Amino acid sequence: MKKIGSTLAIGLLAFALAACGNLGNNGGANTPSAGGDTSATAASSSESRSYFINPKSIGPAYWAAAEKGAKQAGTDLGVEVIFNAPTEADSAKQINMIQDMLTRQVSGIGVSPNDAKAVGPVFKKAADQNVQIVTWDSDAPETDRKYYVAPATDEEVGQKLAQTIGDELGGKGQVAFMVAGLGAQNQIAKADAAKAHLAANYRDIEVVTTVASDDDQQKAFANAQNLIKTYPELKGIIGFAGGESPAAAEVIEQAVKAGTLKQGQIALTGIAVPSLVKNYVHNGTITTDIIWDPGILGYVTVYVLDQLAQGNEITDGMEVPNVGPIKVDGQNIFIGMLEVTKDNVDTFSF
Amino acid sequence: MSTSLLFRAIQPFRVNKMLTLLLLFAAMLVFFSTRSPYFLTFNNFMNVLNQMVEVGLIAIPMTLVIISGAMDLSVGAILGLSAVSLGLAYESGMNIWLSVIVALLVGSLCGSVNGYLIARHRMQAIIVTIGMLVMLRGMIYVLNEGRPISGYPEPFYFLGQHAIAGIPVNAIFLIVMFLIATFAMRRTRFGTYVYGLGNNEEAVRYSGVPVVRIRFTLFVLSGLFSAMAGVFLVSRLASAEATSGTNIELDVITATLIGGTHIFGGRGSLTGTFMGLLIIVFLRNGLNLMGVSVLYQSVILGILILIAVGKQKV
Repeated sequence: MKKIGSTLAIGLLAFALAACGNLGNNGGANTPSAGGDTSATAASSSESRSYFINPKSIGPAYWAAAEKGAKQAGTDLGVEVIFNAPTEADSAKQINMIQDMLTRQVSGIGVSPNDAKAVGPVFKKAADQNVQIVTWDSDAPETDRKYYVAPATDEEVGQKLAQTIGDELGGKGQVAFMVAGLGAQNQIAKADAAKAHLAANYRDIEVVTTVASDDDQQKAFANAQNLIKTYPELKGIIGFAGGESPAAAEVIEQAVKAGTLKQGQIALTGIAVPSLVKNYVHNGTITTDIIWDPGILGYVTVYVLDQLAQGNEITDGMEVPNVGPIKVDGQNIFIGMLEVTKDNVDTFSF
Repeated sequence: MSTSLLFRAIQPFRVNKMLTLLLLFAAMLVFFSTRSPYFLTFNNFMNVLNQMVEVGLIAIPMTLVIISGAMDLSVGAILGLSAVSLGLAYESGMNIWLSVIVALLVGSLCGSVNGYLIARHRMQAIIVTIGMLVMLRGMIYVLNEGRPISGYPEPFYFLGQHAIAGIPVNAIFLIVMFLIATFAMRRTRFGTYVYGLGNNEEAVRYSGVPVVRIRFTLFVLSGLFSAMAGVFLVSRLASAEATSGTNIELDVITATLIGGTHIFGGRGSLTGTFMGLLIIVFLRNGLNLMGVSVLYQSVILGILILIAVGKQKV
């Protein structure tokens, strides 16, 4: 009994000593890290700048593509890029990881927050340490982040989708919307913009309904089946979230095979990663798929952080090497969207 | 002759698990400090202490529950439900400290449901707590509709974000709790009974020990500590989320097992759990600082569990 107690005491003591041993160094000149990166500010003016790029989780192809872009930016700019996240999209684990990286004294962090509010305190801590903060893919407004790197505004995405379907239908017919959630702000904004765009430019297109899948793949599938049955005159479907248009495409192809639907009777477009819709694009079920390149998202995030760390300003229309010009609106940076068609669908790695 | 000498030489290491853990921990500290200049700094140590609090708090009752020959898999869901209850109570206009008490009550209540079913009706602990895990996690989504609840008053953040003399408040709380629990396990009859339950429940029962009450108490404690972890988590992250505490039971049980607690009960110690806890949090932190991908981290952690449990014979 006594032995275990004293073991604990020794353990704690060793622990405390180890911690205190370096306290002096920390307050002083930071001797162990000799070579220039003695503090966050000094680091940003030296060659040893490093950035922590943090997606929501590790695993999905989307984030893997972003990692490739971020790492490429690191190579091009001659800076160190650490790309890491928990295996599950968990806010607490994500924040622990950001805290660890702050003790490593990185020059900047690029975060895609799982919870926009929960990153507030850790962003504040980062800002106090003079670490540059940028959010990407998902935003955390009302925090200390300097910029948000995004593909485009929700309005632009909505308009683009409406434009695509309007052109494919030749400006006439019934259209249905498929969204992930009726309560999600980013979905509402996109759908509203698409509706407004159709009303303004394609008067003969009627939006008959909006169905929500709650991000559930099977529900999206059932929704698409119901749409085809309920609206025999349906000419077009727009999928506003990643899982919607692949589900609709599968339903349409099955109906065509079963003979209940003619090939090309329903035009389909939406936001989806190319790897998920590759076959449907080749089959012609989807003519145009809208997406952005997560690799460019990652690349621009690193580039913006590096500019900020060097004290440079981010300006509208600014040229990012190997990417092109970016649009800056207030604290938002937009990289633009891509059209995925039969001709280029095989060139994407995500 | 020479082999027996060798055996005698390594005998103390085999017997004293605590020493093995300490050596492993020390080796880890040395390794990481050569790998990253930021590892062995006061700031980083305090950062790690701050992060281990939620897992650590739950590991205390978990160690006792496992020693008593049972298991509680619902701790993460109880943490989440307590966290969300705190948020909802505060949102409905309740004083923040009253909301904290509500959260603790919710946690204790969940724990007593577990305890009632397992102790009184002698249902299988693993099955009961898996059922509770699924049900409570569902309830969380029903209650807050999946949205995070944030915006607490500044004094509340004292628990999770402030430090006294450079040491995080929540870490001080954790260490005090460990000391109290260690004392209770060593010096009270309750502690002896807990070990007894894990070794031979029937014998303990026939000795006139209130077995049902002890088992019940253990699960209530588990619920209460999970709720405390929930409160500290909300204070640290300034946000109560539906996903709070998901899979935390894995970390907790890992720390307990690495610390030498036997999965079938009867043997184990809180000191060991504390060491196990230090080992897993520092391992994760060190690998993070080195920039090692989280995928490799899982592999390394898994190997550690296998080594720890591998020493346990049925």
